[in-house]
Amino acid sequence: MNTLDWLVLGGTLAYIIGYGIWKTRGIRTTEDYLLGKRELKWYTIGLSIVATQASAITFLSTPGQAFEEGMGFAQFYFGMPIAMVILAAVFIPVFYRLKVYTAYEFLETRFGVATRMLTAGLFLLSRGLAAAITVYAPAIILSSIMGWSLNVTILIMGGLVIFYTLIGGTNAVSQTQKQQMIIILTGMVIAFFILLSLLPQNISFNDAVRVAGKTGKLEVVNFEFSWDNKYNIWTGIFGSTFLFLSYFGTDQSQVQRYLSGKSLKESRLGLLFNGLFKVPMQFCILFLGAMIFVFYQFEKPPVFFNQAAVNQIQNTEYATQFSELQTAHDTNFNIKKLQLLNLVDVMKTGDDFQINQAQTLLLNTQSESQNIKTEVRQLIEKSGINVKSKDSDYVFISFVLKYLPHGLIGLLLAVIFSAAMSTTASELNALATATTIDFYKRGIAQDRDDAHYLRTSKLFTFGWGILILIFAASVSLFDNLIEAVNIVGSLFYGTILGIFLVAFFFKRVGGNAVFVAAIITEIIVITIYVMDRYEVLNIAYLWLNMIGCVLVIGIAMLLENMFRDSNAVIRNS
Amino acid sequence: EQPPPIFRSWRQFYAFVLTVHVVVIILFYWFTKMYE
Repeated sequence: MNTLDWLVLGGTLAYIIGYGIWKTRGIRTTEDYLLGKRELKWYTIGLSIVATQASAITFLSTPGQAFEEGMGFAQFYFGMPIAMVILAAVFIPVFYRLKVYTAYEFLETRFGVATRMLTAGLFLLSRGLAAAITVYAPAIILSSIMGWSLNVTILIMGGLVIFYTLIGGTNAVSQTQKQQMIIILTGMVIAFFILLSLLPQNISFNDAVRVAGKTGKLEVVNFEFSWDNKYNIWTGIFGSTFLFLSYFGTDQSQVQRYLSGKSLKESRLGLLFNGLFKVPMQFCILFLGAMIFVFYQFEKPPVFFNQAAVNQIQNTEYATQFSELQTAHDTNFNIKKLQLLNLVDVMKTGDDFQINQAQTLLLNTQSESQNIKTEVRQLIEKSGINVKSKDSDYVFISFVLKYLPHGLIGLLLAVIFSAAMSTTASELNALATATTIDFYKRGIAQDRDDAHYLRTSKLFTFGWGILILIFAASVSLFDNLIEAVNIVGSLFYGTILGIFLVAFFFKRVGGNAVFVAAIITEIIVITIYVMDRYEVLNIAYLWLNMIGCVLVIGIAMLLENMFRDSNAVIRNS
Repeated sequence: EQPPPIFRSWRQFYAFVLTVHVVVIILFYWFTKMYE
């Protein structure tokens, strides 16, 4: 980072925040503050939805994931357009007709206040913790690689979000997200073209893509089904449809994005735009990761991308073992590079036999390279260094810092900051809305004037903001907290979606049946999760959403019939 | 509410969105096979 980078980073963030606050002057009512005067057009809603879902980890981890495992992760999004169509056709019209502020408000009209409080409470618990991870996860990577203080990074990231969300409410969140998405997409496109220009002169773009394919990085679609493999087309289409129905249909941080649309039509188009935009966007980010993999076949990569961990191990008793592995890695790289150049040459001849032979040799060396990396990782763990984050999370940011020109480094850091802030802002905004509308206005202070609720929502925005900062700063005190938060989120998602689907599609099921069904389902889902944890079962967590959802619907209908039968018996006797 | 321009109904528009998605998946499959 030099002065130019700092200027670009600071200037970009200041412009985005200034624009957001300037565009949202004149907030007078609670509706202005929480629903943004309901004036947004479809493209702002669409970009806002994309920006809310795409956090900094999307841009840090996804290229690293393709670098390590290939592009199969793209299938995870195959259920997205299906979920968006269901939401546009079924969910949004009802939310609009009832003029709700939160998704949980709708549940009270169907099932009574207990179900509303239960779902809103679960949202506050899981999203409040998840928001802390949204800030912490990129902060730990940036602080480690840039040498910044972790708490200062968290404070700047979170503090800026609190500042503009508190002043401008929902509309400031949407307006800044539009600018943030433009910065993010511009930064990623520039990084991609610079990467291509850095490939060796004698390697064309087509050669690079073919090399990525021959080394197994371009398997986007996989038809082989297994319950414990989360990246195949069946899990992608069926499992992720349920996940995205839950996330976009019942999570207030997303629902609030499209409730602030100018009309039902604008909201629907915004959601459908997200459905069609997200799959190609993930494909491009993964493809960037696959190209970084090819780049590092010609340019020697570090044996471990997390440089801070490497510096630490060199000061321990394991330094000699580490340097032996480093030498093995260097030798392996040189052999692999020669084999790769040979593969590129024989690919031009079109001789299948020779191509297969060269590919087999290369893949053997490639798996040796993997073994060396595994040994390095085990050595670092053995030496007691806590790396906090997967090494593949450091692949993209290491590439940016080492190979991009000054100025663009600042821009790419602005991309990471923007992505983290856009997600956190939606989460903070939604937490404050659900607290104000579902708890404060519904349960504590029912008949106050609008100015009172406007002040209260600002107060809750500030309060949740401070809580998120405190959570984020204390994450590093607990081991495996990130995984725990993600699990907590996914354990409740299916059940909550089930409650909503019963509300929309099964009009005869009442509040008591659905409430009891939700409790029973949650016990079953947690049992399945525990059995998976102790390897009694083997099931990808994506399926838990679908199982939870189907169980709530089935049990609620069964209970409703039982309640009706017993009522009929009582009446007849 | 009025469907988007050139579409007669929302249902037709949803069918269009899902068709585009299927085409994208087929392109991804072709991409996988092309470079395996």
